[in-house]
This record gives sequence, C-alpha cells and structure tokens, in this order.
Amino acid sequence: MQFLRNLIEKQRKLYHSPDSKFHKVWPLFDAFETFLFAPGHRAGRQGVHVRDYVDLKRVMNTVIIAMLPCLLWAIWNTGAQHFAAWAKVAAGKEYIVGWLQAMFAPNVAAPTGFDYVIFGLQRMLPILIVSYGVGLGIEMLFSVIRKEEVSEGYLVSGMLIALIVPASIPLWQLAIGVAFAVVLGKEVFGGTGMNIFNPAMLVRAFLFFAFAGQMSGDMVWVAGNNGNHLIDGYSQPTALAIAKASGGLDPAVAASDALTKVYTHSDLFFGNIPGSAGEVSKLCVLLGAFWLVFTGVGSWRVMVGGVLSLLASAFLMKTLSGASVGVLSLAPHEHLLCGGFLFGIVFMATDPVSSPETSIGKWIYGALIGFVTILVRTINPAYPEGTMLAILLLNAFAPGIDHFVVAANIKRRLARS
Amino acid sequence: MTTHTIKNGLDLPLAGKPERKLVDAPEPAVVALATAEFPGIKPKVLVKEGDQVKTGQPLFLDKVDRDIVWCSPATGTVQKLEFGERRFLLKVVVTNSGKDEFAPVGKPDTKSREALIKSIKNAGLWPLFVQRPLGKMPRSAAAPAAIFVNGMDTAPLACDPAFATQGRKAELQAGIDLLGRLTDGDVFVCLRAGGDFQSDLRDLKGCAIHEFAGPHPSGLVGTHIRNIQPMKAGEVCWSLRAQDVALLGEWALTGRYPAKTVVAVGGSAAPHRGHFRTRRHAQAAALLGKAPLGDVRIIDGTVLGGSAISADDCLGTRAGTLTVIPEGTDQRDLFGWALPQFGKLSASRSVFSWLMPKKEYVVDARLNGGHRPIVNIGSWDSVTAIDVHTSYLLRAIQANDIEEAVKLGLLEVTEEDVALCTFVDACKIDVGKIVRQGLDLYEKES
Repeated sequence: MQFLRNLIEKQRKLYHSPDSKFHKVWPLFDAFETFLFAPGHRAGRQGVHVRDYVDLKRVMNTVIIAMLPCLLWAIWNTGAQHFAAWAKVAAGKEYIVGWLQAMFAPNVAAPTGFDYVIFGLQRMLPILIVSYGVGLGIEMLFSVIRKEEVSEGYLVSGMLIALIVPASIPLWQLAIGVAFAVVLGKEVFGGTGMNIFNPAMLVRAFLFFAFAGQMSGDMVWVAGNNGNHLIDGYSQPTALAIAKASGGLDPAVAASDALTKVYTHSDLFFGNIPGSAGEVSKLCVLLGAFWLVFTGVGSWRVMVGGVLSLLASAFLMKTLSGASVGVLSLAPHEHLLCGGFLFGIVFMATDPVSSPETSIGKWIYGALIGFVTILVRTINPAYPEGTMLAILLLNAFAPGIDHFVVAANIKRRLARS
Repeated sequence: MTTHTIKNGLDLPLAGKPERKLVDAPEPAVVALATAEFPGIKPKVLVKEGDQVKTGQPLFLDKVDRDIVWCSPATGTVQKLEFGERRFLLKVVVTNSGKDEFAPVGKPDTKSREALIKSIKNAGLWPLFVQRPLGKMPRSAAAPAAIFVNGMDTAPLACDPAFATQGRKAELQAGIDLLGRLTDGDVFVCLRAGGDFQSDLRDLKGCAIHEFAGPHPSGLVGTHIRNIQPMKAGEVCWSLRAQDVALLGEWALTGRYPAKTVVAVGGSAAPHRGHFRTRRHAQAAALLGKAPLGDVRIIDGTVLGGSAISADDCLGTRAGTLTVIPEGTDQRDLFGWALPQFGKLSASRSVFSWLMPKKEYVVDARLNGGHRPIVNIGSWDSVTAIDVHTSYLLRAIQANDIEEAVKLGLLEVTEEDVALCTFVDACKIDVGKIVRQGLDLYEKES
C-alpha cells in the first residue's frame, strides 16, 4: 500500500499548496484521499489526546450497512413483482426487454431468481447512480465553494432516496427532486448538520407533489419496461390503498378483510408486495433497526416511541370511532405491517440532524410521528399513507420539542438557587 | 458516609498502567515554572538570571493580586527567564543543585480567614486551589460554599491520589484543618468506592467522606459537586486534590515549602511505568530515562486532559500523571472507515472491536477522522454524568449567547467534565475547547 500512499502524497502537494491552480478543488482531493486513507489529523496539544476510532464516515457507513437488507430485497422484489404482474397481463402481448436484460436473455415464460435480480438491478442501479451522482455532485460543488471538507451525510441520503421511491420512477424526475432537496433543503441551511428537514424525505415530498402521477395511484408500484418504466395495462394498489378504499366499496367492508383478500400477513411482513422499492419488507427493516440500535447509531427511543404510539393511536381510533368498515377499522398491527411507517421510523425519523437531541424529546418526537401517521391514514380523505407527512411535520417541530425539554432543564437549575 | 453511583461514563482501557510501586526518581537537572498554566495572571518576575535561589523563594508574583507568588521548588541558580511579547514572563528555569536550602515562607496564620488566605498565597501554595465555576485559581474574595477534596482519579492511567498520599496522614489532617478554616460550609473528601490505600483518607477528621462508584467521570470534581451539593447561582466552590492537601499540610507542619510530590508515569510508550517521588516542576526527562523515545507524545496529565510537552519541558503545578503514548505521525489506515477494525478502541459497536474485546488498547494521538459540523448521534449523553445538555450548551457558546449558556449549565462544567464527549465524538469536535471559550467569554463579560 506504500506505493499508493506515495502516489497520493505526490499529488497532494499539487492540490494543497495555496498558490497551485488546483487548490480550488482541494476539498475534492481531500474527499478522495480520505476515502482511501484515514485522515492524518492528530489531536490538539492541549486537552484530549486520544480519540475514538469512530468518525462520521463510519457512522454513515453503519447506516448504509443497516439498509443493505432493504436494498437487496428491493432488487429481488422489484424483479419478482415485475414478473408476477407480467404473468397476469401477458396474454396476447409481446414482452419488452430492458437494457440489462438484453445482455442476459430473460426467461419470461418461467422467470427464475436470476431473472428477478437482473430486472431489479436494471431498475435500481440507475436510480442509485442518479441519486448519488446528482446529490454528491451538488455536495462537492458546495464544499468547493465553502472551502470545507466534503461531509458524508449524503452517503446515507442517497441510498434512502433510492429505497423510498417507486422503482418505476423516471430518472429525470428523480434528478430534479434530488437537486431540489439537496440545494434548498440542505445546502442553503449550511450543509450537513444544519438542515431542518430530512433531505431524503424532502426528495420524496417534492416528487410526491410535483409528479403525483408517477408517485401515487395504483399504476406505479410495479416497474416494467415500457417508456414509462411500467407494464402496459397493469395496475395494482398498495396494501394501504386497499385498506383506504374498503370503506368506499358497495357494500363497505372491513379494511382487514379487504386487505387479507389480496395480501396475507406473511406477504406483508416478508415484503412480497408492491410498493416503494425498499420499504416493503418489514423483516429487512427490522434487521436494519436491530443493527442501528446495536451500534448505537440509531435512536431506539424514536423507534420504540414511534411504534408504540402508532399501535396505540390506531387502537384508539378504531375503538373511539367504533368503525367496523373502512380504514378506521384496520387493526393496529396491520397498520404496522402496511405502508412505509416502519421504514420511516427506523431509517428516516432517527436522522440525528433533523430529530430532537434530548432523550425525552426523542420519545415525544417518535410518539407524535406515530400519531400523525395514523391521523393521515385514517382521517385524511386523499392520502393512503401518512408517514412522509408525519416525519416532515415533526422535523419542523423537533427544535420546538427540544426547546421544552431544555427549558425544563433550565428550570431545574434555577430551582436550586 | 454516602455512596453515589454514576451510571453514564466510560473507562478507557488503555495499555500501560503505572505500577503500584513508589520509588524515588533521580533529581531533575532543572525545574521550571510556566505562567501559561494560569491564564489571566500578570506575572512580575522577582529574580534575575544567574541569581542563587533557595527552595521556597518566590520567583514571580501576580500583579493582579500581589500576595500570590510562585516559589522555586529547588535550590539552585536561575538559568533562564523566558519572555514573550511585550516582555510578558513565560517561564523561569532554575538549575537544580539537588540539595535543599529552605527559604522562610512563614507559617499558616490562623487568626482569621483572610489572614490564612494571605499566608497561603505568600507561601506560594495558592495555585494549588481550583475554583468552580471556571476551573481556575480562585480570584474572588467570596468564601467558598464548600471545599471538595478529591481523593480519587478515574481518568485513564491517572495517579491514584489515595496511593500517592499513603503514609501522609498527619499532613493530610493538617491540610484538612486549614481547609476547614477557609469555608463556612463543609469540607468534602471524595473517594472511590472500594478503592485501595484509603485508610489514611478515611480516618480524616473535620470533613465529610463521600464515595463514588462507576466509570469515569465519577472521579471528577464537577461530578462530585453535582452529586453532593450542587452550586447555586453566585456561589463558588473550591477544590483540591488529596495530594495538594498533603502539600498544604506539610507546609503547616514544617513551615517549609513542600517541594516534592508523587507522579505516576504510565502509557504504552512510557519507558518505566510506576509512581515516582520527584521534585515538583521537575523536568520530564528525569522521569523518562535517557533512552530516545521515538515518535511519542508526552503528556503532562492524562490522555483526557493535559498538555503535550517535550522531555526537556517541566511538569506543571498540579502534575500527578505523566502519560506517554505513540504520536502516530503519518500513520494512515487504508479504508479505515470501511474495514471492521477489530483492534481499535471505540465506545461504539460500529467499530468491531466488541467482537474481540481486548483488555488493554494501545492508542495513539491520531484524530481518526476529519472535523465535521455537530451531528449528535446521542453519544455525548451516554458519557455525561451531570445534568447538562451539552450540544445545546455548545450552540449557545458558539452563538456567543453567554446568558443562555449560563442558564444551560456553563458554570457547572470545565473542559475535564466534557473530555469524554470529545473522545467519543464522531465529528471530532473539541468540546472542551468550546466550553473554555464560553468560560473565557463569561469571565470577560462579568
């Protein structure tokens, strides 16, 4: 490795010297160098002389590891859902082959796991590349302007974004969404550590409202190979959409019955369902949650507070309304199995920057996310899912929640004198 | 006796514990007193280069309070006076003859509190006292609400005050008697629950003994004050280590300037690890032997709070621990952030050393990361033993909102109380430095 080190050391002078014409892009060189080799900084001569081996790169890397099960399942399930849907509408139609499939000749009649993965990669790889490419590009540009080291925050955001959009998302829309969220949601506030809203959630919110046709409805949740990355003539509502619609049927039916007619509980838990790419498998989310809590990187208070509150709120709504049909009648545990709440509370609500910093604040914040999610899901007439809006709303309230916790601390201090 | 159990915190398992064996160190070639240890003083030098000085003879005084003097810990010749900008005295270096001739420093004057303070100041022992808030030499005339004597040190590889003061019961008692005259409140002696060598400390009269259990920072004065008698607004407390109380007592019993103390030398790169009886302000080389040490960092203090010095530099006023660790110059791990790293010290399980826990870690002075804005993943809370929201305190300080910072508990902390926050922080923020900026600003504004 000494050879690599020497090579970089030579280049380093070129970028580090302030009179060099390459000095402007020093943050980029530094980002590349510290990606390979841990930075050479040493602790100051006064104060604390030894430091924990953890740095922000490792923290972000830990979150990415936590999301890997979801990503792998996203790749698999995108393919599985695609071929399952195709089987239903195949009669009399010709299968369109995608760019990656063209290299591996898909077995459309009897698709194998290999075909699933190839199709999944065909959709997920471009999404990841656009998400990371656009986001990191903007981050680096701003680092150069600010003359600061490139921060690692976006490494997690980039992956999150890929997991919370439908696999059929048009890439140009995704690119616009990422650019909007990173510039207006993060960089204008000062970059990593300064943003109010979770950048990944902001991307989703932007796409949701700007391109509703590609982010909601019954058509978009299974990816295909036509011009819009869909399967012509195929539509399949998500679990929550089925629950939402159950009250409007004639005759109205209980949401649980409508739901279980289409998806079994084990399908919902393991993720054999259409939906946003990475949130479908509750099992994969739980694996990630365990890793985040075990490493101490994600706050278990937010997660536990959120889940308990979702269950309690759903139970209360069901009991108080007395509804036997419609979405209000959906059982609390089914609220947990449907939709993106679990993914949101584990990976997005725990974002340390946009959530409260005090322990009590985290409990309150998690609990309110659960409550608002249920409110949107059950009361709101239009949106089947409320996790995104709940998290963004509570992101805005997070400093306020902390304010009250900190004010109590101040009060305790004053009470002593 | 009350036992307080501290839950939050962290003991760093560092390699190189000082052996529990007390030996006499060789006499240092020189001793030196530096003014940088006492920010805010205006030193006026009292000797000239080439002057013969005796042990206990004042070398410089503080023009802000002319009673406060700093005395020579050795008998010899003033070798060098170092001045900085505008002839600000930086350092007085004295060659050490090795034989003590004592200059008269007076006895404790117990007529009144004021007289006693004046006699302590004149004897050159006032710099041993630390005032809370601020964590500096006491300045105000206000009597302390209580005096906290620290008989424990939970910092990594630190000198155990109980071990360092064993056999000094008479001196300790004389010191405690003096402290009792300085405050209308209590004198608290804080000891590690279940610690060794404490029989002398536990027998002391005229003070209240409190025990502390749990990981570092259970041994810090800030933690003790918070748990025993939290300060009210406007109050001040004083603190001393047990070793310093023994020095005070030695002066009271003998009328001589106490010139010797015990220093623990530890750390993975230390040539001889143990407890050494040595001259105060001794040159570090006297404790480190003659062999070259290589790429090391010598710390006057512990790895959680101290100054990096060279072997030719001399120890500070409150020296008790000398730590030698590898410096880690130009050591850069390939893919340090991505590999599991089984052998690295970390409080987080994102470093995989929890899979193969080692009893002791060799740690160098690398930062292990780059500086980033505050991203609080909750690691600070888990190592903070006092009721302060550190991240909000830092933000208030960084916004220069000192009024808010005081409300948030600025006056309850010094850099040592937040040292573990600095250690665990993934964004490599020097929390102590920011806290000190806040305290400095507070001092300036009040």
